[in-house]
Amino acid sequence: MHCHRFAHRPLTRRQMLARCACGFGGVALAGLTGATTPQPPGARARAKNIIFLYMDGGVSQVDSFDPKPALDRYHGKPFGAKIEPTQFDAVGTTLASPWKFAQHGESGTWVSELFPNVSRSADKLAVVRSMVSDFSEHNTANYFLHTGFGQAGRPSMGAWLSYGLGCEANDLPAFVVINGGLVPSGGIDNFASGFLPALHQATMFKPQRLPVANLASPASISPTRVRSMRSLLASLDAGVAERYAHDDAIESAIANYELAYRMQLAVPDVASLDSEPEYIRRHYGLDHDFEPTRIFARECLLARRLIERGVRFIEITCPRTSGNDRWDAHGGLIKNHTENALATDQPIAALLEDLETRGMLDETLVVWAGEFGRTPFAQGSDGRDHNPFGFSIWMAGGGIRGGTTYGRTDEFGYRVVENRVTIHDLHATMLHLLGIDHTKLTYRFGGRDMRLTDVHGEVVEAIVA
Amino acid sequence: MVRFLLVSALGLLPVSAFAQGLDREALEHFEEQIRPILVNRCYECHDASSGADAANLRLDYRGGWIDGGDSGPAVNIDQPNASLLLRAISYSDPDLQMPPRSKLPEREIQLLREWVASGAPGTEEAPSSEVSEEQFDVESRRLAHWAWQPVERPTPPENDRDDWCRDDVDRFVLDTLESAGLVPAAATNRETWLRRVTYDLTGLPPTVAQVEAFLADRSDRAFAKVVDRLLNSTAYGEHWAQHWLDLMRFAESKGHEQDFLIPHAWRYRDYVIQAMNSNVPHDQLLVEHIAGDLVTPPRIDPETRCNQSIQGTGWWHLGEATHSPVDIRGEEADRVDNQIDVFGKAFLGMTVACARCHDHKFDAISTSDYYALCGFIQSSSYQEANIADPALRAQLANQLTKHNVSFGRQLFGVYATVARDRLNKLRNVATPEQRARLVEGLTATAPLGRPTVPTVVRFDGQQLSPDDWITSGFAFGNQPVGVGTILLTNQEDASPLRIAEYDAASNEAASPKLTGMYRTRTFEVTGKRLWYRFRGKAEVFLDVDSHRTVSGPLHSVCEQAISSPGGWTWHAHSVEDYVGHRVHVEFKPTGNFALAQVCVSDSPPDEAPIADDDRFELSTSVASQDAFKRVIDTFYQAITAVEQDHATTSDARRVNWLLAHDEILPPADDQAKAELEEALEEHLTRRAALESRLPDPQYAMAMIDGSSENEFVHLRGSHKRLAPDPTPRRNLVALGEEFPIAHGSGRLELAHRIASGDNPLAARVAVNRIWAHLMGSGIVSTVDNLGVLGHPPTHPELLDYLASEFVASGWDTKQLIRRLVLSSTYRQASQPDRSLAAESIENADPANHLIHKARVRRIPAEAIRDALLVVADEVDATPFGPSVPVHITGFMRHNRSPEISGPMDGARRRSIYIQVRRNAFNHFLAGFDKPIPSTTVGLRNQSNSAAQPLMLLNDPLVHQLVGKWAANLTNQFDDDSSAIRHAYLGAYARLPDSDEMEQITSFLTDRLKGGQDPARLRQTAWFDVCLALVNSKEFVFLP
Repeated sequence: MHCHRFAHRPLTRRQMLARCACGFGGVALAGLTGATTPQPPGARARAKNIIFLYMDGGVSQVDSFDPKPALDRYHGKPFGAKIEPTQFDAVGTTLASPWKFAQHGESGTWVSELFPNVSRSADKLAVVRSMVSDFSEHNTANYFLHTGFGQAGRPSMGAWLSYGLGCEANDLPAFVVINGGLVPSGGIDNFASGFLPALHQATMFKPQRLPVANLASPASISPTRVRSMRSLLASLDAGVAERYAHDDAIESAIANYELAYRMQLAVPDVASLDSEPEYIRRHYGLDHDFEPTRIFARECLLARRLIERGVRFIEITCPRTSGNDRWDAHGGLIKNHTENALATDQPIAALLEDLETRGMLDETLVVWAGEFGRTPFAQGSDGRDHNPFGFSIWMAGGGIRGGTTYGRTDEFGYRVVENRVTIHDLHATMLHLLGIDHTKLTYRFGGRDMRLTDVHGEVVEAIVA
Repeated sequence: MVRFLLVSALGLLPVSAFAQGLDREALEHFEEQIRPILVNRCYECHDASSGADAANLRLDYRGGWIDGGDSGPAVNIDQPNASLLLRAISYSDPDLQMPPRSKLPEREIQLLREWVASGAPGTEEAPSSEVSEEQFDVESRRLAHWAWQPVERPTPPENDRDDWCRDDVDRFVLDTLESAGLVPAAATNRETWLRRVTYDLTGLPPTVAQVEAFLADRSDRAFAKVVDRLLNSTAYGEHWAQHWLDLMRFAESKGHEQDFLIPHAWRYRDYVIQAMNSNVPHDQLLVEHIAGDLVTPPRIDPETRCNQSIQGTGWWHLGEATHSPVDIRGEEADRVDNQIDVFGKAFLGMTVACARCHDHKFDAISTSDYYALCGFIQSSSYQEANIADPALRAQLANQLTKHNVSFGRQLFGVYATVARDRLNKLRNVATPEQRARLVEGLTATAPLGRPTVPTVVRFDGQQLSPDDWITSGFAFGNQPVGVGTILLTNQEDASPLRIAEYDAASNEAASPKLTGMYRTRTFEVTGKRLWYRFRGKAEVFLDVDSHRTVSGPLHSVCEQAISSPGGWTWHAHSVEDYVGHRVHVEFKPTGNFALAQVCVSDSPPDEAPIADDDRFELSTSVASQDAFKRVIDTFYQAITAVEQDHATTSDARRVNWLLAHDEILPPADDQAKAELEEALEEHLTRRAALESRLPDPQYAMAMIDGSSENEFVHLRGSHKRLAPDPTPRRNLVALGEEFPIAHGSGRLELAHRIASGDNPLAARVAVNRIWAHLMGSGIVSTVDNLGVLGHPPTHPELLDYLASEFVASGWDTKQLIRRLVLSSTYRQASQPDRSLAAESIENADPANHLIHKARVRRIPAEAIRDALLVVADEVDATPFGPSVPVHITGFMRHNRSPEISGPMDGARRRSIYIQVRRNAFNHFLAGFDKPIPSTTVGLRNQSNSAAQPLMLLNDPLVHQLVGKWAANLTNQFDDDSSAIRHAYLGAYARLPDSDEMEQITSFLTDRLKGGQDPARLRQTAWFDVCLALVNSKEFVFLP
């Protein structure tokens, strides 16, 4: 569970901080201002940024990217393989997919009719059909997917990247979560910095005019007043810096205010989707009839704008669809997956195509994944329970070999039988594509050099271009 | 070892013979068809270099797969199809799939299957291993690292700077500085010291009045007086409790999907504050944390009379928890891992949990050390403990029991005399109906034989070992209530007199008004149902693999309410899903309750009446006068047996039958009836009087000792692969290992060994943390890790000096803090002495490890919020009690937010009283590095993030408090310069210098120019000044 390499750390964090010209806060600030942080050696970086499309609750692999004709043959019959304990312990019969699959693009990648728009980009996708997770419950599986560990308290993927690579923007944070309304099971600990400094935790953006908390002064305080107060503060701070002999901690805290001021200007600007041309807005679905699609469209468009400005890692969470609990279709599979797909398909397709048009897809890694898949047998009569033993995700963009389908599940789509890919492998691959050797991105905490991939993880070379 | 080798060598003999007789063809087949598969698919891990990571399984020679690895032989020659190797490659067992990445092609599986069936021939000689197995040697590890060595008190070094050395502590610091060619910094000014010490001791800024009083006090004792005042304030406990809560990953909800609240968590927080305030010796605090439920007599709060000691054990239950684990044993393993992680880091400064999967890579801690500690946890369990005045409750329980015994005897005596008389009257005059009914009663109460189906008894009041008697509270007394005991019950529509029919765990001997819980020993579920023989009412909780948090979809069967107020019955508890798991069962009475047996059986454990009981010729008894007399005699004797205290179950049931069918007997005379009723009335009155003195229950989370359980080593950390034998409970080998455990878990014995001056770690860890909180960095800067990967002490002698002084003082925390804050080391300015050249500092002590000056530190998150309340004169200093619900800002609110949002200003209480919800962490405190409560954090991060300025500039709470502060200043002072001076004293504990005075005055002048409404202008101008003052860095930094 724990532990990994311990040796060969050139500088401990504390030593490094001590030697670093600007001391403690300086390093933290360096992360935000794009100054150099200790960049772990690794492969050539294929991508600079990541957009993580988090499919909350778990999408059914056998209804999306892993067609299983055997399910049609055995539909309604008792399931033909050994069944592991399930979350609801209400195992029904074999359940065929209600959706048709077809091959798309030159690669002939199989995609179900749930995703008519994304399937246009089939040749950009590397579909991994052999994902496994260690956990059957949302919360533990979410922590595992986000932090590489099944309990709260570890840094999220984005926090690791913020720590490892810093941010290219000097007016935006490195790690942003765009919250469409749903927070994963397990709560905001999924986006936390864990034992890393708080600087690296996600900044939560909402798809609205002022997307960040406490961004602006109350309207009752005029801009003139704000300006004069800031100038008083600046002159008082100059005196404090003097008084404290320009101590690093004080200087860094003062610089931190400069960053906040820049963010106050940059964030409303980046969030102003009105400035996008009409055809782009329509492409993403900002005018869609279905409200969740409109919300998700705003999230995807905002993500592209943040990527353009150098944000390192963006996680997009799903919007609420009425009457459904995320993708978590324990019952009413057809309504659930139809509506969740409707909410996400067009915006995701537009995001991929827009990035491509702008030449940004090459340097942006797009990851589409939930915390696990769903059972090929029914829960009750018309639902599917959690399945961590074999499920599908896809990646596209920077460094990804498009048009690939990797790994295989058994004839029912229940268990992986070929080229198993763990969550640690997924993380290792993501870091690899950003030029980071996952075994070298470490942080000393509680006596260990901690890693996103713990002691595990292998890069899935077969999907890397 | 030698013996083992001999045995296995002998065991190989027939195999060798077999090998010699093997035709070449088989070996050729192996080399041509099988070896290539093994080379391609298996040797990456399972060759000569195979170690613990590969389960010590080698597949490069025949002995490798025949002897097998950690999980046993890979090939089973006798039953080839049962071979582990075949199971692994078939991918049929999701927990054992090899090769791990992909299933082998069918062709290769088939070849291996045939090969195993043919006896798995192969080369006999083991290729030599390149890797020499390095034995894990705790003792050499222990000897090699400083932290395990005994603490020895060094003599403070001599020097000629007695003027500087206020405390012997200073001599160590000065000595190190001088050896490095440095000198200490000058003493800081009085204002800075006052602000520093007030924040360090109480987490609050000094008030204006306190600053003025201190500056005016020129006496020698001025500094000491301040320190004593601070140490004696409630605020001291509130601040230092927070340090401790960080170690204990304190939270009031369990996180994960539902974020269920942890009941009574706030009491643990109050316990810690009170312990800090009353300066409980640190060794006692440790004992109470590990085993406060077992401390006798417990520490009693002088005011509330509550049991304090037991509340220390609450920390065990503060971890996160998932509510419906699919893999319940796996959930337990992770939960225990967290408990041991906190235990190791907080109490020992060692990363014990690193040894969960393998022996510690660096420290003197083995995997068996880890699982030895697990046993203590598994021999214990959660309890919701009533902490209200234990002495009073014990005394009342005792009185109630005595009262029941004496009145029971008296009442039954009255009843017996009359009943025997009435029975005698029946001998000759009974009507056929009376005869028939009495015979019926006799039949119904005939002795019963053994159960007719196989059962495994897990509790039987009659046959008790100490491990079977586990109770909390006073409801169940010290032992089962014996068969034949005369019970007095005041249940309506039942006879007030009842005779106990079984030896049972019961609250009826004393009073059902007493709180308590009975739990069984821990046992393995071996059948589909548990059966409880009980009467009365109770809540039942089935604790599977020590899992507690139950809310569907799974495991809701664990919680049940059982009820049978009318009489004894068997209750079936379905445990089909838990066969093979270890469980215990808890019974918490919700009225009168008695439990006679718990057993495991697939079908009802019905007992047949003993058939050959022919003494009464029951079928003919109605006709035979003689036989009927014997019926009467039997009842008669049953009454006498109860009276003389040798009743059997049958006797008791007969008397109870008679009591319930009183109308069968001829009427008693009125006088006897009246006498009985009068006695009963008196009994009830006196009992009610005793019961009314019982204190209201107050519940806290705690540990309770269970039966003795040892854990098996989980091979490579997997709970699905256990070592063959359990590891006995003991201390870490490097800390002296085994000790006798008489009974139960042995936690108390462990606690005394951890909290001992002989333990080289406990005192060092404690004094180092105190030092770090006051000086900004520990003598060992990695305060939670004194192991090999931690940093070495900057002042090893000083660390040992402090540790030995601490132990010698009786682990007196306040005394140590007092000495340190009055030392010259602490009193230094944050700028180096002017005589020191920048270059010599850069060479000798660039990171200030040697403390040539004070460290500039940011005050903790809680102190920032509290300081805002204090300067605005808004703080509600009320201590203790249930937490204020966390405020959910509009921005925080999401689909998983708590329904109820607390007030924005946290009811103006200090931050420590704001509820800590894992899934709804207070945004302000989190933004300033309050750690996520997952494991021990001894020293917090001090980071910069954009959220911090945004909060201090724009958060509605900051604006509300700044507004109050500005209003107070403008109301109190008409002239701005007085207001400015007052504001500086309040925010920074100093007066403004002339520049600052000038800047603010001109700001105000500028803003007051030419307005229509001068009062309002002044108000908003002052608002902006105050906002600037709380945003200026001095507000959150200590120079």
